[in-house]
Amino acid sequence: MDHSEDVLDMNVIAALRELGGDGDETLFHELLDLYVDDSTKQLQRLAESLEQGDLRVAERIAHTLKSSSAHLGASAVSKLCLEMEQHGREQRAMEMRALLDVAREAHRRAVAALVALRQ
Amino acid sequence: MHRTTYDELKQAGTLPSPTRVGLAILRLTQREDFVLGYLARALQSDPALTGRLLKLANANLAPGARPICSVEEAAMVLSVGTVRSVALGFTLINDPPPGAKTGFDHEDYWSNSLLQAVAARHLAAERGDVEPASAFTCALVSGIGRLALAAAHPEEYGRVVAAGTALSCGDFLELERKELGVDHAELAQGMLRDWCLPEEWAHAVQAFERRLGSEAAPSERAAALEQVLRGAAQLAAAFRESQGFRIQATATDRGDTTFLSRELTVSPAAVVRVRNRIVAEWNDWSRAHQPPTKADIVSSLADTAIQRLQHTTPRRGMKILAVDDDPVSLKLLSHHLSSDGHRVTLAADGTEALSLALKQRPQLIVTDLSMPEMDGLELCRALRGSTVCADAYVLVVTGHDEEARIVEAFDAGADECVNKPFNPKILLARVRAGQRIIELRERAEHDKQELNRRNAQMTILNRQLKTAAMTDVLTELPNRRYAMRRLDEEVAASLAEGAPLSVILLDIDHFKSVNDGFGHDVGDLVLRETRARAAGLHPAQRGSLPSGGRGVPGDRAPGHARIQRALRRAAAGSRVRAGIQFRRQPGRHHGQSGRGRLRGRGDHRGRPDPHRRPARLPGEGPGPQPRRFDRRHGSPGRKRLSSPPRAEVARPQRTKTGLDQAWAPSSCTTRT
Repeated sequence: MDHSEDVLDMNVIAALRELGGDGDETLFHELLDLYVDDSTKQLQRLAESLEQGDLRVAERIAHTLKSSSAHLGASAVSKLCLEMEQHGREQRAMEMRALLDVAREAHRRAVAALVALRQ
Repeated sequence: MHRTTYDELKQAGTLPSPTRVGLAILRLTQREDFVLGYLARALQSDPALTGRLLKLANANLAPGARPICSVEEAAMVLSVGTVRSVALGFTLINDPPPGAKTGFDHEDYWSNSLLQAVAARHLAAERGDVEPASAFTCALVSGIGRLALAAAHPEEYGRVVAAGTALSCGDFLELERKELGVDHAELAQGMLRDWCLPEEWAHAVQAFERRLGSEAAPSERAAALEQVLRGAAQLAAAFRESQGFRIQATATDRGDTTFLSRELTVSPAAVVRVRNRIVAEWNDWSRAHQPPTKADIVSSLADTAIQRLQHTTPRRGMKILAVDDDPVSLKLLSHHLSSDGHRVTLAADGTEALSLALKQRPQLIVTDLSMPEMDGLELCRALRGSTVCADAYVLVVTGHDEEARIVEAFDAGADECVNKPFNPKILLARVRAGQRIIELRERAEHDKQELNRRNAQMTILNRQLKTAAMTDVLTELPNRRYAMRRLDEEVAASLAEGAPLSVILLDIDHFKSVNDGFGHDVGDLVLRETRARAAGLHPAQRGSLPSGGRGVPGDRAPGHARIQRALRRAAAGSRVRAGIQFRRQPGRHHGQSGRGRLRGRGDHRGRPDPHRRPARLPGEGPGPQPRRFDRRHGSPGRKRLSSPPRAEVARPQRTKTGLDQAWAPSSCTTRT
C-alpha cells in the first residue's frame, strides 16, 4: 500500500487557521495542542488494546483517531486509522498490528509538521 | 373666558384626531366580526400608511423568504393589534399641532410622551401582565387631553400651564376646569372612547391622570395598565431629573433603584434592566445630539411592532449539549455552535452527557456515535426513555462509513445526522432545521397548555353555571329542577334495588300571609331561617333538603319520625313562629315516577298557585301584622300536595307552635 501522501492537508489547515477570524490563531493553536496531546495518548492505548487482543476497543480508538486526525488535516493518519478500524470490525488482529507501526510513523511525522506550524 | 365642554370642543373640530383612515382602522379592528379584507380596503386609501406597514412587515423576514407585498399579508404577519397601534401612532402624530406658537411646548410634550411610552413598554415587558405594544401606545396617548386643550385654546392653555407648574395634580385639573371648562383627564377619556380604543385604556388613563390609584380602575387589566402608566411616568421623571440616570437624582432621589423598585412593584434588578433599556433606546436617538422627534416616535412604534414579531419568529440561541469523546471534535463543535449564537454545554462521553441532559434539559443534543462507556445509540435510547428529555432534538454525528449505524441511530431515536468530519456550514444548517422543528413543537406545546388552561377555566365556569342553574338564589338550596332530576334517579335506583325510598316534603303553610303581612323581606328571612335550621339537622340532609339522600338506611320509619321531630323542633322557637306538619305516607311509588307525582304543584317558595287560598284571610282587613291564624288554614296547602294520600298511617300531626305569634306551620309530607 502506498502511504507516501503529503503529511498534512494544507487546505484543512488553512480553514482551521481562519476559524478564529481576524488573524486570531488562538483557537487553531488550542486545537493543535489538543490533537497532539490526545492523539499520542490514544495511539498508545490502541497499541495496548491490540496487545491485549481487545479488538473492540482498538477499533473504537481507531475510529476516534480517524476523525480527529481528519479534523487536523493529518489525512495519512486518518486513512490508516480507517483501514485499521475496518480490520478491527472484521476481527483481523494481524492486519491491525501490521498497520499500527505505519500509523505510528505517519502520526510522528504529522505531529512534527503540526508543531512546526505552531512556531 | 370660554366655557367649553368636551362635546362642544368635539363639534368645533379643534381636537387633535387620527386621520380618517386611522380612525376607520381603529373602529374596524375593534369589531368582533373583523374581516381582514375590510382592513385592507381601509388601509389602501392611505398609500403612506400602506407603505409603512409593508416596510414593517418585510423588516423581519427570514433571509430568502418571499417579500410581503399585499396589505392583507402584512396585516396577517403583523397581527391586528400591531396594525392598530401603528395606524394610531402614525396618523395621530402626523397631524400638525395647530397653534404651535403658543405657550404650550409641543416638542416637549411629544418628547415626554415618547419617553413615557418607551418606559411603559419596557416596564410592561418586565411585569408581564400588560402587553408591551399596548402599554406603549396607551402611554403615548395618555396625555392627549393636554394636547387637545392646547389645540382648542392655544393662548389660554399656555397661560394655564404656566400658572399651574407648581400646582398639585388635582389643583391643576381644577384650574383647567375653572379656566377652560373641562380638564385634560376628562378630554382624554372622551377621545379614547371616541377612537374606540379598549375601554380599559380609558379607565386606566382616567385613574392615572387624576392620580386616583389603580384601585379606581374597574377591572384588573385596567388596574395593571394604570400601574404601568404611573410607573412609566415615575421612570420618565426620574430619567429627566437625573439626566438619563447619569447622575444621582436630586434631593427627591427619584432615580434611586430602591425607591423605583418600591414604586413600580418590580424587583430592583428589573428596575436596573428597565432603566438600562430606556437609556439605550434614548441614546440611540440622541446620538445626533438632538432630542427625539416625531420621526423617532414613528420608528419606535415600528420597533415595538418588530419586537412583537421577533417574539413569534425563530430566535437564535438554543440550549445545546454537544457530546464527543474526541476533544478535537468537541472543541470544534463547541466553537461552531457558540459562534452561531447557541449556549453550548460539553460532555466527553454518553454517561456524562445523559446526566447533564437530565439536569439542564437542552433543546438540542449533538452527539458522536461511537464513544466509550455509553455510546451515541445508548444515549439516544436513554434520552427517549426519560421523561424530561424525550422531546429533545438529537443530531447524530457519524463517519462516512457508518451507513449501517445511521439506520440504527434513527431507530434509537435520533432526529437527524451529519457526516464527520463535519462541514461547519452543513452542521449549522442542520441545527437550524432542527431549531425550526423545536420551535414548532414548543409552540404547539404552549398552545396545548393554553388550551388546557382555557378548558380548565371553562370547566370551572360550567360547574358554576350548573350549580347556579340547580340552586335557588334565595335559600341556596338545590332548586326544583334539581329535585325533579334527583327524584327520578332515586326512584329508579330504589326500584332497581327494591330498597325503600323516603321523601320528606316540607312546605311552609300560610307563607303567603307572611309575605303579605310582613313584606317579602321578612318572608325571605323566614325561608332562609327555615333552611338554615333544617340544614343544621341531619348530616345526610345538610344543605340539600329536597334531595334528602336515601333517608336513613335500614331505619325507615323511626328515621323519619326522628327527622320530622327534629324539623318541627327546629322550626319552633323562632320569633316568627313556624310550625311544621307531617304526614307520613307508606307504600312504594305506586308505579309512578316521583316527577309524575310531584308535577303541577306550586314550587316550595310559594309561587302563586290558583288553588292557594286568597292572600288575605277574610275578615282580617287589609294590612299588616296578622297576629294569629286559624289553624284550619293550615290544611289547604297540604291538600294540594299530591294525589290524595292512599293510606294515612299517621294523622296529620299539628305541632304545638303558637305562643304569641303562631302561624304558618309548614307541612311536611313523607312517603315511604
